[in-house]
Amino acid sequence: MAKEKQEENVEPAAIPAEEPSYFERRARATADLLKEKGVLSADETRSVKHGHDHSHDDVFEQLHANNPIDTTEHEYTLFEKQMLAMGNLLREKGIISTDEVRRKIDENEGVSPHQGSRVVARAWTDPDYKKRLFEDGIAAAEELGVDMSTANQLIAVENTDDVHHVVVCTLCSCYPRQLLGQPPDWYKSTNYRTRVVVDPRRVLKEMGLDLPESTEVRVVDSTAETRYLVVPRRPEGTEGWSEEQLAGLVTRNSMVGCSNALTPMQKEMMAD
Amino acid sequence: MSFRYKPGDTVRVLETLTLGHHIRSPQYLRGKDGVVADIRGSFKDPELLSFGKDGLPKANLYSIAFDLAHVWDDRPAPEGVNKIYADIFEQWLEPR
Repeated sequence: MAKEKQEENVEPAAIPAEEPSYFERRARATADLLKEKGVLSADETRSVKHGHDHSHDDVFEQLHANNPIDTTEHEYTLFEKQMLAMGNLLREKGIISTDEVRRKIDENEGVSPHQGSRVVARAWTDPDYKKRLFEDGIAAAEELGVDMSTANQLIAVENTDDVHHVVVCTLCSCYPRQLLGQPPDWYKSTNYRTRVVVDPRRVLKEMGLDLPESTEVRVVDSTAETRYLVVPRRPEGTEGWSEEQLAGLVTRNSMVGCSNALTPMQKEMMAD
Repeated sequence: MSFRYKPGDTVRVLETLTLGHHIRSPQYLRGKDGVVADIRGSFKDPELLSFGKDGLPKANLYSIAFDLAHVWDDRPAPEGVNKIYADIFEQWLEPR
């Protein structure tokens, strides 16, 4: 108790030893909001800001004593400690459970590229829609009921025999999440992000797409507000197919430009 | 909002070195020449937003096409025609 009393008098200004990172500032602001909303007490808020997981130090130690991962190699950042402290407090108060967090992670990462496939299939079958898609990607996606409220701009780019687009974000992992869900790990990897802007043909070849020399390659670096959707070439032998059948050929990678859409034969082999 | 550049203009990305967040001009394109391919529009400036400002005035954004062989001029050029398209804000461009 006496110790807690002492801490009350610590100046909040004493928290940052150096300029806090963007994430640390976010975590501190979140802790402040949770205090304002009456979820956390003043003490709890302060402990989150410091990254002190008071009530769970023992549990944490135990957890890692039995953990096969060698935690000594990893020094936790202040932000990571803040998140652990906040997560544990919210769990302790019964606001969120560990299971709920796990399910939410699954939900976030399980969003299928289905929405994007529908947009591409519609563009393949409806020339007027295709025109609208290239004029205003957001409006065209919304036409099919996709929630685009978090997007600033969506540009569709078309792959043809003459021009092949492949999308990357060299700065981070910008991705048309509203249409394709969470980006796959390879898209976020340093390997892909650094190499595709240097030798795109080779990277695409490694991913199974061998482009003829006559095809111009355009690497689209998603550096700012714009998100890109690649409309792959419609495979041959799909004349008269329904929109739904066609959507089944439009893979996530084809909408990033790292592969073509599936051929009817490839699709059939996958079903077997 | 008036745009300083139009499609077809040749521009150079400023070579200024920077520290900090949300500078949307990648280092590998700094000091490189490109051609304005398209005008993307005006958006709240991420360089201001990331420091807690309101992002105003809005900044003009362009799609700039770079010849990959010129971007990596110290490497052997890969076969065929290879371009890099990147979105660059107007304050990062100078006329050529």
